[in-house]
Amino acid sequence: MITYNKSSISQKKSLRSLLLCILTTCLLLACDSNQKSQTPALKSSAKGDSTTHSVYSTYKFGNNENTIDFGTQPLAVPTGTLPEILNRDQILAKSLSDAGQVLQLHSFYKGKDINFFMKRGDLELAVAGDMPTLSAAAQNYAVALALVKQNYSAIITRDLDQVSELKGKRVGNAAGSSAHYALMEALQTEGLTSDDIILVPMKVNEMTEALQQGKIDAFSAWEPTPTIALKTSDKFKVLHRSLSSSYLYCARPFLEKHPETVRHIVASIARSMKWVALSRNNILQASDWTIAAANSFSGKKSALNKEEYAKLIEDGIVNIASSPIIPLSVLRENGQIFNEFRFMKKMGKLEDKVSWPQTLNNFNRKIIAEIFNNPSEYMISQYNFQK
Amino acid sequence: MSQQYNNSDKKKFLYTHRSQLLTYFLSLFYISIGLISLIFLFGIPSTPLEGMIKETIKDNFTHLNFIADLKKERLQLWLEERRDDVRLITQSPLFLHELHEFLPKKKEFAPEKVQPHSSSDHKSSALLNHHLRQVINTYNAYNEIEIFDNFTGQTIASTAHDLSINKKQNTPKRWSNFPPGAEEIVYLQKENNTIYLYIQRMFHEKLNTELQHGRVVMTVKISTDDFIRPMLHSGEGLGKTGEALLVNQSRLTITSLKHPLSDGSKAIPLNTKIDADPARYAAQGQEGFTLAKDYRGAQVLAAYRHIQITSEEAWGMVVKIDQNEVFSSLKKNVAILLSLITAACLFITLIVIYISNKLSQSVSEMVKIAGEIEAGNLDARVIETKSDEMGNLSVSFNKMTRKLQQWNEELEDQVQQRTAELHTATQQLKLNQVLLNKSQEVAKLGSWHLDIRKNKLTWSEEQYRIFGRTPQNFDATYEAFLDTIHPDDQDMVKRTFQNAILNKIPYQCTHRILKDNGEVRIILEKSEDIAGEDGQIIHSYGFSQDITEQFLANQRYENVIKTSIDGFWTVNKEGRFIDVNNAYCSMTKYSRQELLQMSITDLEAKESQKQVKSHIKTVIEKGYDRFESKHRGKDGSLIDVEISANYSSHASDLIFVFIRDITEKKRIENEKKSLIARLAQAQKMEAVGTLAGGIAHDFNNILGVILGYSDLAKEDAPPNSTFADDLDKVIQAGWRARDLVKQILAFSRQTDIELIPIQIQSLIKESLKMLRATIPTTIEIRDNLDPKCGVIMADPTQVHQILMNLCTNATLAMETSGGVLDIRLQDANLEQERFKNLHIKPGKYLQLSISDTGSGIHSNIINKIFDPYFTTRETGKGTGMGLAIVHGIINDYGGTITVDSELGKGTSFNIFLPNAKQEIIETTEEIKQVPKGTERILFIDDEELLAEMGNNMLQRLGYTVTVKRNSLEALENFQNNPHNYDVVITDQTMPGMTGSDLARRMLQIRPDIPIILCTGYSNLIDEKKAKSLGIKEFALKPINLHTIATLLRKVLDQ
Repeated sequence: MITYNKSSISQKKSLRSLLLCILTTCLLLACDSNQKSQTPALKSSAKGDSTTHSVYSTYKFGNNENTIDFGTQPLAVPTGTLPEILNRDQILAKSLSDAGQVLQLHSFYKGKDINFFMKRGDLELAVAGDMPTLSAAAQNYAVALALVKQNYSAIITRDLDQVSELKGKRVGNAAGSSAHYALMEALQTEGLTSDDIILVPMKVNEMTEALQQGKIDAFSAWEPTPTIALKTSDKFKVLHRSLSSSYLYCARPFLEKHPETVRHIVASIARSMKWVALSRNNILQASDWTIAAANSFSGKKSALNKEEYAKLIEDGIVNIASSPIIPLSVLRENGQIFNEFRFMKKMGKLEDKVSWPQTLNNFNRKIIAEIFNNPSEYMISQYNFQK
Repeated sequence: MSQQYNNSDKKKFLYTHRSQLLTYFLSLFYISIGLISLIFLFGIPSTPLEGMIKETIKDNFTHLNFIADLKKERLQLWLEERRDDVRLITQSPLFLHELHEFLPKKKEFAPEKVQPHSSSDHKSSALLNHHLRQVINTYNAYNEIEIFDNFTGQTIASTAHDLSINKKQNTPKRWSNFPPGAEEIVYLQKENNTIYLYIQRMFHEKLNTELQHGRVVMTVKISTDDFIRPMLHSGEGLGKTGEALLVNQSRLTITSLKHPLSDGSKAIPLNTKIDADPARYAAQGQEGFTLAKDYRGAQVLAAYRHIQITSEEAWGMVVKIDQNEVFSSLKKNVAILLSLITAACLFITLIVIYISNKLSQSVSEMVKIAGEIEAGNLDARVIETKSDEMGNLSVSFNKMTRKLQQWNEELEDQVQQRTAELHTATQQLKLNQVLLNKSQEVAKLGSWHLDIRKNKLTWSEEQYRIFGRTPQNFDATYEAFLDTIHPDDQDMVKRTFQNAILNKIPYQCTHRILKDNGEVRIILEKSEDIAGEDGQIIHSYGFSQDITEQFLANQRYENVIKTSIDGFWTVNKEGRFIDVNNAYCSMTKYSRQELLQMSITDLEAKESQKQVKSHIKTVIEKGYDRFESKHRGKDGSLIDVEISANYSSHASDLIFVFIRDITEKKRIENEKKSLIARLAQAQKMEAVGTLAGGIAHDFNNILGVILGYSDLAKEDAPPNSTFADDLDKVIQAGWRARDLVKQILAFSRQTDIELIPIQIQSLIKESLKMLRATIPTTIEIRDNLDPKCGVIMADPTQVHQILMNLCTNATLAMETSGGVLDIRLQDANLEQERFKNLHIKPGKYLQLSISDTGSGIHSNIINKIFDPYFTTRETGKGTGMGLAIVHGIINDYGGTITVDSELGKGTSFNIFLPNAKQEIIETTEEIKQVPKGTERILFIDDEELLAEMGNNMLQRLGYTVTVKRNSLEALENFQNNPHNYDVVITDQTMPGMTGSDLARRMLQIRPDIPIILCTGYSNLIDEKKAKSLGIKEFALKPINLHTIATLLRKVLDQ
């Protein structure tokens, strides 16, 4: 009996390398916005063309020197929080105005969609999860500038107790997202791959209802979806969590052409983070703005209240990232970004010529350093946010 | 045999009941146990062991997750508290103030200038040290706290040493550790084999801004062994092998480990790298639960958590327990279970062996005894020692054996008994044969058998008797049988028998035989045949019955039925005809064949099908019934019948019915009833007549007074005055009233109506004039009277009555809707074709037509309107006599009346009255003078008013009047002075003595005395009778002045 289990586990371990390959293949297939896999949001578009998406097709990008199109994710918390604060930063607004520029936010369901438009040149800046950021940086069309949050993606289920029980089950997933990567990571811990489960593509704001209605057996999502699910039903539980980071990143051409504008925007991010950490009231204010943006984008009232949003902001920004600088720990060997790069590389989702040093070079820590070395110029400690 | 059994038992041991039972029991048992064990150990879906493993894992997963979450939360909370402590201190006004005092207050602050110059600087440093020690003492969570210059690395204050600021410290340079923008860093560092957690934070930027941002930094130093390790291990609940461990992002263990490494060495914190999966997952930022190997290579259940402290610093935590320990209790349980199963197997095996021995012992004993019984030893018995099933079986077996023995004995008895019974039966058979022969003799029924192939005929004794033969003088062949048959029937019998044989149908034949003594008998024969294998008839079995008497009886019966004048049926219980006689056929005009296809209900005209069935039931129950009904003949005529039915269950459940035609009888009865009714009506009319007579008498008296006084008054009235005219109308109405009384009397046949030849146009005109005054104006009266119409013999009053009756009816029919009343009078010649249906003599008639446009008469009642007392009016509003009287009058005149009516359109009455040949009597009276006289008159009337009126009237005529109101008194008066009077006028109806009696007595006294007899009405006397008594004149009341004056002069002047 015990031998049986040992044998089983031993066999699983021996197949690990094979499974890992399969896992990574699946993941990277889903990662690239130009690839075959599509998210539900892109279902309406032909051959991955997000321009025909029912929502995105209505966006009017500036595509000129004076308009800075900024991609954000209102349905991700607190990823979507800092852009909302930034959008109300009067200091930034003045800086941009002085330069004859204006900031324009565009909402997206996930980072993969943001990358699509950034690569096309429609977006100049964006905040998104680690996988989209890495993907853009590795492909050298974007430069990561700042860490905007650190928290966890989670696999939520109702009837399952172990990750191994996911085998053969339907799992809700936003393809190509950090949560997708988290799901693959979790499967890997039990020697499973995406072939062992049934991936059900869907928007994160549809997952809780789908789980409740029994359309899926589990889902993998970033905050606030796991918190919403756990609040929705006592029967829901966390099966697995994975660290999830989000970054501010900038289209490389824009950075090269407007480095000072980028500095002002990064400074605004830093200012925003400091402002949020200053008081409880600021956190609550940021919650209000985030909720408003989420409600506006989803067309539905958020399932979480202000306090619950505040908790997510506090956990993801205030307690973790005291500085927006990209942590060295994620860039080191076996760090989060490094591991993800290795996966992508192994699966051939990155061209051979793409190297880690080049990718690493696109995770820029200098701009933050420059800003903090010149705090008075960038008014790091001054706050003027439009209420 | 018993010995044989024992030998066999030894040889076939393996096939004994005992061994088989044992084998079966044990096989089943071990198979069951094996299956249960296999299922339990390896399971089918949801088997216990697999479920238990899963459940154990699940329980431990829950447990470990709970502990991991708890420890992570505690650790994070503790870390947050520490970071908050540091943040609060670096923002503390107290510290900021002291540092402010201590540090140079200029921007070009240089490291070489950071030296205390005065005692106050020493004081500040001491105070800072003091404050830091207080923090340590208060929080009891820090090993050391230090404030240092991040630019120079010089310590400003510290709890480690009581150092002064001017003492150079070789503190590591820490400023490079702050990432850009970060105000706080957290990291681990090893010092002297101890791992310390460092939390460094810049003092508030307000302070630093005045100097240089981030220059003054506070560091707290916390020993992981002192603070973090106890947190990890406190309240573990992880068993003997379980532990919680922490690794940093490089998977170096932060704390010492519970177990040695796989190579047996001891882990060194921040030196030993943990390669186990759970630690790796945790360090990479994952959280979950897994079954994996730990750092020793031991299989563990592990919950792993990630603790992100800052963006740069994160730890992994693993809470694990050895799988062996987790499953140890389960293993123990399985071992116990297997032991129990083994013990149970052994125990049950012993039990089964014991039971099989016990069971087989009894069975073997029984097998042995059964063998003895089989060998014939019925005295053998099983020993009955137990009270269980086998004991019961032994008892039953012994009972069965005893029963067998008993049956054997009984069987032998029965054989003897049956032998005796067979003997008795043989005797009985002989007796039965005798009885049969006797029965056949009594029934005159002989039996026979003909073997057709051998042509051998076998007769019973009775058969010989019936045919008057003996075995000695009968050849017993078919031909010999034919010889016995009457010569006239031989061919028929032969044909019938051959036909039965050929067609394989039962043979039945009635024929005559001729006995040797010449006697002819009638024989009924029946037979049934048996065919051989080839299908040919080879045997014929039959009987012959002498039915001579029965045949003759039937013939008699048929003759009776045939000659009966009453109808006769034979019907079955359903009422279907089985037989009918000719009389009934004649009665109904149906043929016999037709009737035999019918049932009673086809003929019954009075009773319903249900009633017929009820009658049949009654007949069956009572045995007979007699009742009347009606049958319908073929021509539709109804026949009154009297039915007499008899039923006998012995007569094939048939009902015998005689039907007598009583139509004529019924008709006579009906006529009789009608006559009785008419007699009653006549008696009623007579009574009415009597009543009418009485009324007429009194009424005429009253009219007499009225008319009399009216005449007197008219005499007194001025001629041609209104008064005289009015009196004329009174007198005219009075006379009409008198005529009416006459009519009443005539209708009740109390008087004869005198018919006179009249022309009725004027009568019609007069009647219409009176009618117009009484009917609504919505009714228009139209008349078309041919003035040339002839004369009829009629009574004017009756004509008036006819007109008033018919016109009144017509106006009533138009009372609500209005309409036209049309009266026409014309001659009609009834010899014409169109009058041929009037059923009166042909000739010339007067046709009086009275038509209205009223509601009409319903066809249902139009035939009844002339019946006496028939009325459609409400009770009390009509007598129902009007049209009856009209009809009666017209009939009396030899005429007829017809009516045509249509509902909603109106009614038309046509009256035909025969033309009279006589000339019209002028009814207009010549006005003459009233004759007067002076003679003496004795006037007798019991009515006071009449007496008085008579006195007045006669005195006014000049006569001398003596009035008497009592006839006896008058007689006495006359008797005393018979010559005092010249004439006597007497009423007829008077108390004491009638007028006629009085007259007779007076005439006896003085035969020449002229007497005038007046009467209102009397059925005792009329004019003829009065004159035969010697009475000079007979006058009907009321008598007017002119009449009495004329009569007086007539008798006095004779």
